[in-house]
Parts: sequence; structure tokens; C-alpha cells
Amino acid sequence: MKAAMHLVKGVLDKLPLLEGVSADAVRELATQSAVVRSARGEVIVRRGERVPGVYAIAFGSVKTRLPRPPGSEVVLGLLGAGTTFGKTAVMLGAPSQLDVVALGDTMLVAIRASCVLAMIERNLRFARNLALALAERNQALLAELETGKLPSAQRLAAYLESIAEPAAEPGRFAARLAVSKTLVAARLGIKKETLSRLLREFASDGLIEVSGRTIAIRDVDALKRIAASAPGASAPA
Amino acid sequence: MSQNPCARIACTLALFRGVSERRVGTATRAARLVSLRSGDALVRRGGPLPGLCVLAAGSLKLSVSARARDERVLGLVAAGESFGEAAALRAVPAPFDAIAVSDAEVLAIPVDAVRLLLRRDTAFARNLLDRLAAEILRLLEGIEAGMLQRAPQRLASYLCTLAGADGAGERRVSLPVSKTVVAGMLGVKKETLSRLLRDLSDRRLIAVSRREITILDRARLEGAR
Repeated sequence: MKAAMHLVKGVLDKLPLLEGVSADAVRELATQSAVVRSARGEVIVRRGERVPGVYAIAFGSVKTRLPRPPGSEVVLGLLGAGTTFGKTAVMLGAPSQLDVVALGDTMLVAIRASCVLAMIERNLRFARNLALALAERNQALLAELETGKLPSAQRLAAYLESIAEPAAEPGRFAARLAVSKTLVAARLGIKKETLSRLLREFASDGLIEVSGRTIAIRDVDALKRIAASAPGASAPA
Repeated sequence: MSQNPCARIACTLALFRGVSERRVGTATRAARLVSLRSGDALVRRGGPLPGLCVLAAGSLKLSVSARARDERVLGLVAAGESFGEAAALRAVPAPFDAIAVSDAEVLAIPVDAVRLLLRRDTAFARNLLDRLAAEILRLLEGIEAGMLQRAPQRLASYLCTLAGADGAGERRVSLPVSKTVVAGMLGVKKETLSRLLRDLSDRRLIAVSRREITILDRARLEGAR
């Protein structure tokens, strides 16, 4: 029991959502938390069901999806260690809108909903962190709503740009796909073959260089131009 | 009671429920009222949002256009409702166009004042969290509707939403805005909307008279394809 508590506290201590929150408050949240382990493919939260609390991913990763018949799911997000989900449902006391599925063996910490809500009333720093996290989510969903109807080349360019990070060489960027290409394709709402073709096209145009899951971005401005391009100019020339 | 007209308006809003008058007064000291004529833009996507915005009077639509001529209405804002909370908190440019659809008055509270209040006031934090969460739910529903449902289903479920929860029997609803705006909200062309409404009335699921729509058969409307 004591070991589990230690484990939970270790996970919560590193959580951006709890950054700057007093040690006492984190300890209190930890006493109301439980470790959850999920195997690859396991559904952690099912749409329409009540969410027991806010989940923090200790290790592993999950996808959030709008459930559809197998093969046509719509993946909305891919989350890794240090991120949380279930915040909206807990705030609203509403059932989950999304399925959350483990992508690999995943360990999570579930912070009980009642404890999260009580902490909002007592700890302004926690409330503010949560507000900023929800605001960020708002912005991401709005972008999703907007790019949802774009041609696939624009969607891919926008996605690569959004996950690109500065590389070791100054002025260079690299994107690392955190998950398989099948999942990235599902995330973008395109077929896997389309994703592969687009990556090949981008590469032969000198925009990117693909090596496994790591994508070196050679021309970030060109990528930005494609992401923002008008209809008809969607495919790289 | 504060003499500041902005504070007087703010005190009546859901976002400030439970917040002391003194704090509302401080938060709105630098706020301003923006008057808009129907059709005026408060802000265009990418422009600077004047802060956290509350619609004091009139009505307003929020929309994005991924491409020219492909407007997508995110929602309509009614008097008393706030918008732009997420962008204000993150201090990013406006993520949408905000256009008055009738003469309107917007109370804009500067970002700094909002952040300060968020640091100090639990009731405000709680109200803001509720708003942000509700907005996330709405966006998810919008994404789902756009991705997964076909236009006739979107129209049918929109009409059922207007009719409210209680089910059976005839019910009259009136479109809160012009058909052009409703079409934008549903992500279809105006002509498509007119055709879909005709289809539904040919099938005797609804009867249409301008903006007044009578739902004749709710059960079948809910299952409409």
C-alpha cells in the first residue's frame, strides 16, 4: 500500500497540471488516487460512461477516439506520459464523449473526481492550471474543426508543423511520430496508403526526409505554405 | 454599487456569479463596451481579441473559414453569454471571426484583468472552468457532426435541439437566425439547406413557413437520413 502511494505521488509530482501546486495539496490528491494498468488495446474510458476521475499517464500512451464501427474510427488525439485526460467530463459531471484506448502497456493514475472538484474550490493555483489546460484543449479542438475539411496534403503539412521541434542544428526542425503510421493516418482521417504517398511526395520535393518514424523537416516555410494554401494548390507542385 | 457601467453589466452575468461586486468592479475597470451594427466584425480570425468578451446585448456569430467561401459557423452567441475565454487565457489572436448578426454591444475585459481575477477568486475560476469545459463539449460535438453525420442528419438533429427535450407531439420552432447562417452552422450551402427542408416537408416530417418550422413527426425526424 505504502509502495503504491509512493508510486502515485511520484507520478503526480511530475505532472504539468500540478506544477506550482503545494506539496500538501499534491499529497492530498495522491491519497485519493489509484494506479490503473491497461494492456495494449484495452478501452480505459468508454464513450457514454461516467469517468471516475482525471487520469494521468505515468508511462505508455493512449488514443482518444470517436467510436465507430471497427476500421472507421476517428482518432482525435494521441497522448503520452505526463498528460492527462478526463478533465472535461469531470468538470461537467457528464459521461465521456470519447473512447480512450491504451496503445501499449500503459500505467495511469486516476485522481478521484470528487477530490479534483474539491481541490478547485480550495487551491487557486490548481484551478488556474486546470483552466489553462482546458483553454489549450479548446484551441486544439478548434483547429481540428477547422482543418477537418482540408485536403489531406494540407492536413499532413499542418500536422507535421504542429509536432515539429527544433533539431540539434540551428534553424532545422524534426518531427517524430510518436505512434505508428497507421495511427497517424487515422488521426488525420486519411488512408495509410495516402499518408505514405504524401510523405513520399513531400520527400521528393525536398520538404522533408523520412527515416523510420523520425522526419527531418528541410523546408519548414514550404510546409507552412502548404498548410495554409488555398484549394487547388493543395498538392505540392 | 459601482458607477462603472461595465461592472453593472458584468454583475448580471453567469461568468461572474458568486464574485463580489468589489472584485467585479476591479476586473472591469479597464473594460470597454464596443457597439456593433448588424454585419460589423468585432474581430477577424488572426486579429487581436480585445480580451474576454461578453455579449451585453444583441446577437453575434462565431465562424471559421478553412478556405474562402467555406464558412463554418461555430455557434451563435446570445446576450449574457461570454466567448473567447480560451484565446484570452492563452493570449493568442482570435481563432474565429466574430460578426454581429444584429446590432450588438460587447463588453471586452482585458486579458490581464481576467488573469488577475483568476489568480484571486475561486468562484470566478470555477465559473470559467465550467465555461471552458462546456465549450470543449460543444467543439467535440461539432467535430463529430462534421465528420460523421451526413447533412440531412445534421439538419434533423439541429431541429430537434431547437425543439428542446420534451418529445412527442407537434412542436413549432423558429430558426433563431437567417437560413444563410443556419446553413453555415450546418456546414452546407444555402441551396442545400432549402432542398433538405423541402425534402423533410415533402415527407411530412416538418412544415415550413419562412423561419417558422413545425415539427410534425419528431420520432421519424430523429431517425431521418
